[in-house]
Amino acid sequence: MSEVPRVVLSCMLALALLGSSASAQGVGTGTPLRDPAIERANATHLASLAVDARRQRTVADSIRKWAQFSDTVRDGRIRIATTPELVELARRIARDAEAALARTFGPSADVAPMTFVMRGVTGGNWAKQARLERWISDTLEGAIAIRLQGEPGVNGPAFLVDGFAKKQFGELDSATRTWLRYPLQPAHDRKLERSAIYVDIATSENRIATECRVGSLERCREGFAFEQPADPVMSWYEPANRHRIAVRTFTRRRRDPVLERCSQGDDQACIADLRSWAPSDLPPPLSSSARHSLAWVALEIGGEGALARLGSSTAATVDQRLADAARTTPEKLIGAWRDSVTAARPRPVAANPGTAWAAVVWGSLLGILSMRSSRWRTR
Amino acid sequence: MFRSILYTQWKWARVALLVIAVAAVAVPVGSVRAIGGVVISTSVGDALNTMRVWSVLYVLLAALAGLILAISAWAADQRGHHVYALSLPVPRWHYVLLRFAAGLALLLVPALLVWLGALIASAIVVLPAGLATYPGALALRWLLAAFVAYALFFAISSGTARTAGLVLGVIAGIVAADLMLALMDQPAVVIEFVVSKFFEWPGVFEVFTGRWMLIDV
Amino acid sequence: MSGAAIEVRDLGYRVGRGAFEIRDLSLTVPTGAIYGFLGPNGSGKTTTIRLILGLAKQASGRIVVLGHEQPSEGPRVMARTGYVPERPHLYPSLTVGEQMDFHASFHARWDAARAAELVSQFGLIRGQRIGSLSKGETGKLMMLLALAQTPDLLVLDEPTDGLDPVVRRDVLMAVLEYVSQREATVFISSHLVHELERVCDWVGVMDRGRLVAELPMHTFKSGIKRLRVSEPPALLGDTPFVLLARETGDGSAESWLVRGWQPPMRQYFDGVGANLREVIDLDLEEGFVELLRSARQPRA
Repeated sequence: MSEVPRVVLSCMLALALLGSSASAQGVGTGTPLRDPAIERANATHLASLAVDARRQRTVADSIRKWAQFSDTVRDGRIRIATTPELVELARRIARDAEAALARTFGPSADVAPMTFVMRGVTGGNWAKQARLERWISDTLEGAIAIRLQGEPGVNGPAFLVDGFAKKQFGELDSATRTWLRYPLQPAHDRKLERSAIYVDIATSENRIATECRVGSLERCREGFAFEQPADPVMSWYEPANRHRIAVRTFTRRRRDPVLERCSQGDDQACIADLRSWAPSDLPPPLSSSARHSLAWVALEIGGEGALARLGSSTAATVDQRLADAARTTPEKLIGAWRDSVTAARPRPVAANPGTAWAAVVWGSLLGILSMRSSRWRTR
Repeated sequence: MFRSILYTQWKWARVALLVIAVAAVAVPVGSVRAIGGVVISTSVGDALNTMRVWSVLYVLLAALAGLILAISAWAADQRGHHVYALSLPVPRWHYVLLRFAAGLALLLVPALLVWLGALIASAIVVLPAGLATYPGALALRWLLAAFVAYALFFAISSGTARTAGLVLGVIAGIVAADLMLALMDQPAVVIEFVVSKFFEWPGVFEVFTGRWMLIDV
Repeated sequence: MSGAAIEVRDLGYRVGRGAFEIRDLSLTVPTGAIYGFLGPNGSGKTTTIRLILGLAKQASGRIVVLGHEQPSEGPRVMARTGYVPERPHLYPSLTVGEQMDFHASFHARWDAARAAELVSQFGLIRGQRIGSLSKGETGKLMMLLALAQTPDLLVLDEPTDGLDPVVRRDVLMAVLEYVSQREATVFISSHLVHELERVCDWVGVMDRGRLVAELPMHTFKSGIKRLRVSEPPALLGDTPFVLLARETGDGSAESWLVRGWQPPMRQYFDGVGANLREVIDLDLEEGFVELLRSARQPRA
């Protein structure tokens, strides 16, 4: 099929040339001289023929490429188009990815499906691979190309979930996106994540974070910085914080006189330096991880439809949007978040009574077993 | 009788006990020095990460102490095929109990030294807000873990070759089961299941898990 | 059972499901006797001793030692029994003094004075590590430990095996001295027949897991003879002695091995028309060898 347009074009060109030659020579037409207007018309006609041929070639090329991915696998919100030999793998990847998405983003009825085009690794021609991927995203609007590498059974679902998360992130309003900074990602162990956040907050040198941890909801709200304060350098930090944050960049900006004075303890110099930073470069009292964990708490409390509500909320502030997703108030949401982080506090080395008793019982049992060995029994 | 047995076991294990004793003090003090000594010179997050790395040494030390004391309790008798022990005028279970108790008594020595080392380390470090030291809890957990390790290796050492063979056979059976599953293209879950039972409460090795950190939140 | 120091009835033992190593063994060690337990290597002597002391479990039969059942009353037996095994069983890393202290802590009847005396008598050094002792010194130490706990029964499993004559003499002298002072019973196993000949008053002979003979030593020594008989009868009828073996010799003469011989028994040969040419005395070792040979072969 791919040769047909070429043959047609060749024939047409040949005929056209012959015709032109004949007419130039006066063959077949009886016209002894060529008319420039006719020549131009012929050239234009030939050019349009060439354009048609290129278009047909593009169509044929598209048909050929699309024909490769003749099998489609569907699972919930995941659709994967692939070649026949990769169908089983695609099915497994779709199943695992859908399970991960259902665990984290809720049931699939909540969100629109996504299409992926999956193919095996074919070789080292990266330019060709990139062209094919561009074609995929152009041809199927919103489709994402998956190129199988490494352990496809492991990387495949992770790639799909990542793609999905990016898509969801893109559908949020700009204020929420700015606040979150990067897409929400499913975590393997949500409790471990919250443990890390607890440690961050517990060991933070920022007064707002410390007061949030010990009970002030207002401080938590301040720490999340749902709205950028007018002067974060003064409202977020104490002098020691300012010094530490500014001096962290000292090695890169050693010759800066303001920074030099800041490093020597001049708080005004530190204030001046930090005010010269872009607002997004200033570390808020509660980190991006903490912000994400708040968003996840909102989705967990909100249950089914929470993600959709987050995307469709028209509330004026980010905290209210999160609260709408959770179907609660911002204060209750922040309280629930703090409770979840506090509950995830990592258990220090102190053995709880259960552990101690288990150790004592096992040790004693093993001791008794050693006495019961056949070597030490009389009968 | 107990004093004699305690003396013999101390004599057989004293060199190894000395090494363990030095490590018992060195590990907590070393962990604090690793994060900067008196004043923590790294960030708090890095300090906790360093503590977590050093915490592995406590677990290894507990297992090692248990192993060494258990083996040294029986090595001399095993060399003589237990003839001397079996010819002593005490009930056999009584003899085993005496050996077990003597090893436990010796285990208290490194446990106390872990506590001492932890106290010294806690005393020399100035902690930032949000962190605390757990010298007593660390030493107690160490003692419990070493006790479990000691009891396990003691039971294996005091048993017959047939018992050890049985245990090895069970382990081999578990591994073989997973291999069979893998060959049948099924997820190999037997080892994972068994290991999880051992390391989750109330499993025998649960005391070895957790955060063995002298300095923690 | 009677007041014997050791009484064994129908003892049977095997390892696992294998063949029986000991079968239907019955022996009696009178109280106060020095009982020599003879047998070639691998005959089951050490196994029998281990069963008597409760170090192994019998498959069948009954064992009573010093009035206590074995193995259920093992600790009571061992409290009154001094044991010297075939191979050294002490702790090599302990010193002589430490081993003595360890042993003493388990034996209520430990005689420290006797122990000190034996240290000096045997030429041992309290501070010397057991692992660095010679074979003879180790043997002496094991004997010291067994004697110093003032036992009522001494069980010695080849106590002089591999020792030089001087050490052997020292060890045996110590045993005899103890026995003469305390009237203890001694159960001593050996394959060195000539050694037991001098000290034992009872002898039991073991071969291939069975007791082939048990009798007073003087009977054993004096009763086994070799007779040279010419014109022997084809059929013997009842004999006044126990015929152990009958071998053809030169021409029409035969060599008979008999037990329980007495000089008046010459008349028997006159009665059957045979001619007793010679009566040869056998020493204990020869008698022991002949006894084993006859036990292994069917009767003529």
